[in-house]
Amino acid sequence: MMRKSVIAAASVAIVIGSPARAQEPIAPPPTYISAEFGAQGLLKDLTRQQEGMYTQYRARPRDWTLRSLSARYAPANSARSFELNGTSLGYNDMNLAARATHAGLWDVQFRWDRSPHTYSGQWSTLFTESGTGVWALPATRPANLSAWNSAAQNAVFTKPLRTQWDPIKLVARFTPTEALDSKLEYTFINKAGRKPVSVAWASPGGNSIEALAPIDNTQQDLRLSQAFGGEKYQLQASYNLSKFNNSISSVYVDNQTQATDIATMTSRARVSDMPGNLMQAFNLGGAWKLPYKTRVSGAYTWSVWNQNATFLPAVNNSAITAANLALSNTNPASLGGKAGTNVLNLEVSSRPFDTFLNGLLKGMGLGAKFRRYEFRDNTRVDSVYAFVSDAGNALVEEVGRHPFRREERELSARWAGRYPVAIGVQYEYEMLQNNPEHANVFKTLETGPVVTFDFTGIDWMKFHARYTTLERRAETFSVDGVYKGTWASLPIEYDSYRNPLYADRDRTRVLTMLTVFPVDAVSLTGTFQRGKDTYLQDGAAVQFGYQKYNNSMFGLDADYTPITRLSLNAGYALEKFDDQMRSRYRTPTNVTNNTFIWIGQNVDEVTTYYAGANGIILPNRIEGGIRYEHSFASFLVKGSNPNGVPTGGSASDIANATAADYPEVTQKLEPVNLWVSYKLNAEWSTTVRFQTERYNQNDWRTAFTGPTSAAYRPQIANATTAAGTAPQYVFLGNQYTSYYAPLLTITMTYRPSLLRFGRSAL
Amino acid sequence: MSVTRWLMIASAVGLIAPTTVWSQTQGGTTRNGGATVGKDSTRAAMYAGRDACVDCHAAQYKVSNDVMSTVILSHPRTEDEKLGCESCHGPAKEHAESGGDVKTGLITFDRKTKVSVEVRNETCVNCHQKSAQMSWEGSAHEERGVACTDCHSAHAAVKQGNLKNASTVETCGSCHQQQKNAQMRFAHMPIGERKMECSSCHNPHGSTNPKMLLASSSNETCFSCHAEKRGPFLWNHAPVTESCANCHDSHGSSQPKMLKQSMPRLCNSCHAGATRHPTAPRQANQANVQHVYNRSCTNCHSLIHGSNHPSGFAFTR
Repeated sequence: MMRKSVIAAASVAIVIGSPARAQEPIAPPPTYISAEFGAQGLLKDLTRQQEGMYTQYRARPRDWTLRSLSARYAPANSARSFELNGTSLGYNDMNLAARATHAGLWDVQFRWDRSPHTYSGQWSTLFTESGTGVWALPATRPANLSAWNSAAQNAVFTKPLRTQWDPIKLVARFTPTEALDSKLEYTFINKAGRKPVSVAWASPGGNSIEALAPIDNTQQDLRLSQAFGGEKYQLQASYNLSKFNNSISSVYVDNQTQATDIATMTSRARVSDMPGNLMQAFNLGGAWKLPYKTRVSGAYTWSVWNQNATFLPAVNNSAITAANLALSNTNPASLGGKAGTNVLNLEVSSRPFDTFLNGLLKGMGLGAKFRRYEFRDNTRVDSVYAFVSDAGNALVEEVGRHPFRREERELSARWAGRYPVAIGVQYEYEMLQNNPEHANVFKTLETGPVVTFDFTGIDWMKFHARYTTLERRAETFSVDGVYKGTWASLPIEYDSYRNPLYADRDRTRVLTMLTVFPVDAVSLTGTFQRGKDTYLQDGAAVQFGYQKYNNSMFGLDADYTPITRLSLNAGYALEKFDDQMRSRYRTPTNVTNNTFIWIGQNVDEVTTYYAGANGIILPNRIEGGIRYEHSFASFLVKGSNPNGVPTGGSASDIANATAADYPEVTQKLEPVNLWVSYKLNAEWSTTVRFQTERYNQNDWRTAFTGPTSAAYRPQIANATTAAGTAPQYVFLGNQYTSYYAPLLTITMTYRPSLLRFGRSAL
Repeated sequence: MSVTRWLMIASAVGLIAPTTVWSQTQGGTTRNGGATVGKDSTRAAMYAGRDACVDCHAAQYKVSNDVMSTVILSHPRTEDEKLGCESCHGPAKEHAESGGDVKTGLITFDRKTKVSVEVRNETCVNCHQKSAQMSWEGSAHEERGVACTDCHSAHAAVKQGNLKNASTVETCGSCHQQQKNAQMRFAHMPIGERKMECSSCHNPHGSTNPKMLLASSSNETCFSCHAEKRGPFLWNHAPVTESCANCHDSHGSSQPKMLKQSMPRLCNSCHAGATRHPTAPRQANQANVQHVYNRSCTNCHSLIHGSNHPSGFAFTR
């Protein structure tokens, strides 16, 4: 079918083709329609598994395509115009936009921009959906691993596992005078489909199974804003309402190892889905120009977030004792969640010396910034009765709230007189304050200078450098949020623990960027970045937690336009990331075994390069282009025991404490785009596109070809189940996989002669 | 603070003084050679009028005809707009009468123009100073000397917003190379698919928020599409409440879900504490494979962004 479509499209092109005619007019006609349509198809079949990644955010190509459609009506001698634009019409990634505008007075825009989010092209499960979000296993579970695998062979579903996003946006803008600007924005997002979800049994360390969660929710955002502006001042006020509705409150999933409820294990779990919520925000901002080139600006935002969805019952297990069930029934009916933010931003910038001191310090800019971001949480629920994964014991769990306040201050001075240099110095201050009742670190303070240097003294080059060095210190460490009891000896160890979010840290960042354009036709940009975070060792014998983080990037971009009809570009970048942490495996009876200490290290490297060319091959007749991109990422998760082979404790403890490297993971993406457009006459052109995409993935985490599960089917991993029992861990087998997708597209384009030829060819 | 850093600051300040003196010795010129676009009627005689411009610059006018600013200039509502081409380029009567030889006083926007970035930008800001552009002055881009015309073209735009490049990511990526490359990683936002663009989250014209975000914080930016994660929940995960960026790299990542690191190490970096469960290094070939395979920690803690289930304190329900 695809071949027939391509032949048909080519035939149409030949029939329409005739010598180009007519000079292009200067003024556009009041009305026009343009369209691009044709045939397309993959020259190599993709398996359903391969389609997963290929269609992650785009539609699967079908035979015919209405690639774009545009219509415009703009009456002569009028400032009004009306437009309709669409791309990929009829596909699940189509975009449809309409716009009516009176230039400078009002503007109304509508946009419907569909987008799929595909998690996989196929999956395998023994579940059946007995109701929306109710996943049932056969009443008689397969008796053992072999039987599960055998049954799973016949339970492969090839319908993509996907959530479809349908965002619709409406924007209306009214500018009645030069000083007033009113805007209304309404966004509606509908999400429907399914996504994978995992369920654990008898946590911690229990079995787990992967099922499907239905997606059926909407999000609505309304934003009203009013801006006032004059030469000396600008003011802006806005109101934002955001509402999230979820038709799904829970997912029921059968237990693969337990067909009937018992007091310590449910046969069917009930997992909550995200509850509906409401957010309202009010914003007021403004800016004033003052004498001496001084400008004061600020904005204040106050928002409130509410969530009061009815709680699910605490337990879904008929074997729980009546007394415990009664306890769970004393939980409040809903959270009455009330949170929100107070955000204040103030900024002053001034260049007072331009007209002062006889211009001695002309070009000297001074600035100060203040920002306070406060997250409130006024929710009143202090505790609830909870059950550990539906096991029989009721626990009173304390409900922690996490309000925090972040305060940032910045003072800066920048001299940017005339040529050739600009130098900036700024001092940064950031304070983070947490809730002392539920945070290990109550307060952190990060301060330090930033220096920038710009050189623009030569008219064919620009140079920018930036150096940042910051010190973060935790003022108070609390062990209130740390487990106690059995682990009584740990607070001392914890006190020296390096949490990457709060621990004492020294940070440096360097950025240099050089752009050279020796002649108009050539532009070269080189970028080098380096960052280093060191988590301080403050004298304790062994420091646990995060130790260091390093990153670097070198990049080069080049553009060359040797003649006006040809442009070439290329780029290269190498990025490296390296971090290290230290931990100790602990059991209730083996808390401070030094041989159980282990070090984890992540080493990532990403190489990206591209090259492309666009050109007019035959003026007013043939245009074309090619682009090749390459991105290769590899990462290693390393593990080691710095004090030698673990000893002491049980064999299981020793096995758990032994660290080892994980296999390397690699990913490579190589898209190639080649296109040629041939102009048949003043209105018609035909375009041939050949686009290939090669993706290679080697990821032991989802391929299940690692040492543990080589003998098992991909979707089921099970290492220790005794013979005759159901598997402990069951996955959907919904991973992405490598593919090569060559796509050929032949289209015809009708476009009024006033429009530039070939500009949207890719 | 270390002595080194104070020395660094002192050195930078020390550099300012001599360069300032250098600037004095070079003298200065008034902005744009003394010509600014204004409303002073006494200078009306300095303007040539749009027709005079089009006589010679028909090509530029032709390619401008679908750009909004040109439409506005064709239907002017203010005195400035009535100046046509000269409302941006400055009075050009002398230039026109000289047959194009005299260029004094013209504001030009090409890459090698002698007109300072400040003057060029002021031309744009004269009209574009409200709403999205309100925070331009003092913004990171303004301070860095980025010219409006580095990204925009009033004549030959190829994308809505009068952008020079065919996509926003190409425009921003010319400086922000690392972020541009990140969209090619395994996990990425649908930017290459044209479903999102840099300006979906950032306001390149400046913002009072950090990182020039449109919303007050990174979380509120993410909630504009992922409102389900806003809560508040019965069980909040503190680092989630604080910042999505604690775990995710929104520009793209080699890890699933755009995580900054591979699980379980991402979780280990905070949860290396007291309990036995997350303190094990978890080998790839160990018995409890659910800790490292597939979604690793979230094989069990699947509601890691927060749970509203009474038994969901460990984010498993």
